[in-house]
Amino acid sequence: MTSLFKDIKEFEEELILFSNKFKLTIVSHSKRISDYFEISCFNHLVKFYELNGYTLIVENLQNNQYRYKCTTMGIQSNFSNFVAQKKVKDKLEEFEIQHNLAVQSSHDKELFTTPDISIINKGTVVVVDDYYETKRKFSYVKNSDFITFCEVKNFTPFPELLFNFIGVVNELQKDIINNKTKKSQLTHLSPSLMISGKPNKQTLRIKKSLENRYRVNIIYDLFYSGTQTFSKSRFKNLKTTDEKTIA
Amino acid sequence: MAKETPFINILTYSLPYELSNQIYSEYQNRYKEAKYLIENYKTYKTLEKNLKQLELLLSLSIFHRRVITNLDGAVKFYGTVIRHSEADTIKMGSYDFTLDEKNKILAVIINYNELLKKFSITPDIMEYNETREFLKNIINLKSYLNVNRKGGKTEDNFKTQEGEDDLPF
Repeated sequence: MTSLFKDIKEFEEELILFSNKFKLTIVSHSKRISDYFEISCFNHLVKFYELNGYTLIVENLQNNQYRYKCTTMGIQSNFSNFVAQKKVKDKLEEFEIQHNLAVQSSHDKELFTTPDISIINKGTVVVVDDYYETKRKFSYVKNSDFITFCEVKNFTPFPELLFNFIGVVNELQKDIINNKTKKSQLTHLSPSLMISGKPNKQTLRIKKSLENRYRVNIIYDLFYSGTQTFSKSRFKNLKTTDEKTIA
Repeated sequence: MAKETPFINILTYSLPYELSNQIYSEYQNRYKEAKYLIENYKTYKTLEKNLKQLELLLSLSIFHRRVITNLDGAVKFYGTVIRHSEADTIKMGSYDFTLDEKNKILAVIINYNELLKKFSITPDIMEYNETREFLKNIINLKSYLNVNRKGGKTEDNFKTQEGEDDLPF
């Protein structure tokens, strides 16, 4: 066994060798690190459904390619998504796991915002051409077909980021803020804020307070703990929509 | 004699400015804190002669968190898509994440893991919140490797030491 405490020179040389050998690959992919982080979170959510007994299907491949929607621009039908399905009492329940889809506000039908990841009823994306000044098409999901969402932030947590998330929850799912949510039949993750960075004492305190008040998840440190957080043994620690109202 | 280039600079060389800046700032802050802890608290005095190890492991742990885990996430998502469809490429804007690209990243991850294994560095060494936790991880690794070298038991000796009351953090 080679010990880095005995052979520090060898360790350093090997690290430099590794760094030089793979520099080109690492540099070219590091330009997309934020996209990869969002993709990782999307993957965690897909796994969440798989571990909960759903069958997964990929929908809407474009020329045999999975087209990931990295921004809010574009019509949803030009991009791919996952469908999670499960038979419950002889009825096939189906949901779409979408990325960057506009969602109608729960307060005002004319308002929309776009969470990073949304869970919606299958086949409910609507396309209209009267949203913009021009005839440009706009795709969204009605609030009644919207189930839950996740916001993904590749940041170190800070208070304003956390409170902004509660603003989005209020706009899209006001019942959560009013603590009037009903227990759903099927398991979905409650609205979640997924953050890559580690919290400090203050942001831990805010997470605790917000999670006590509302049925939401604030998940920190996903760089390190992503796989564990969404593992079968741990996801019971996350809040889901089939729980009773908090209040 | 020319001054040696710090390993963190070698690791971050040519990375996009924003990412290298995040890695570099975290490294500087934690290294400063670690040195303070080692110099002022007896719990960490044992690392006084291992500043080079501290430099390399700290750089590596930050790189692990901010680069390797995300590359690994992309490879895992590629696997999920392939397992559930006929797709062979993930398209992100104008960029095509193909099987070839996935394999290039996989080669980085495999070689990285082999490197860690060769030097008995388990991924949990990289898991820490506070800098002092990281220092404890290094102390445990050191004692594990010492015991192992002398032919003693391994697993039982390789665990976190508790009972540290003299910390200001």
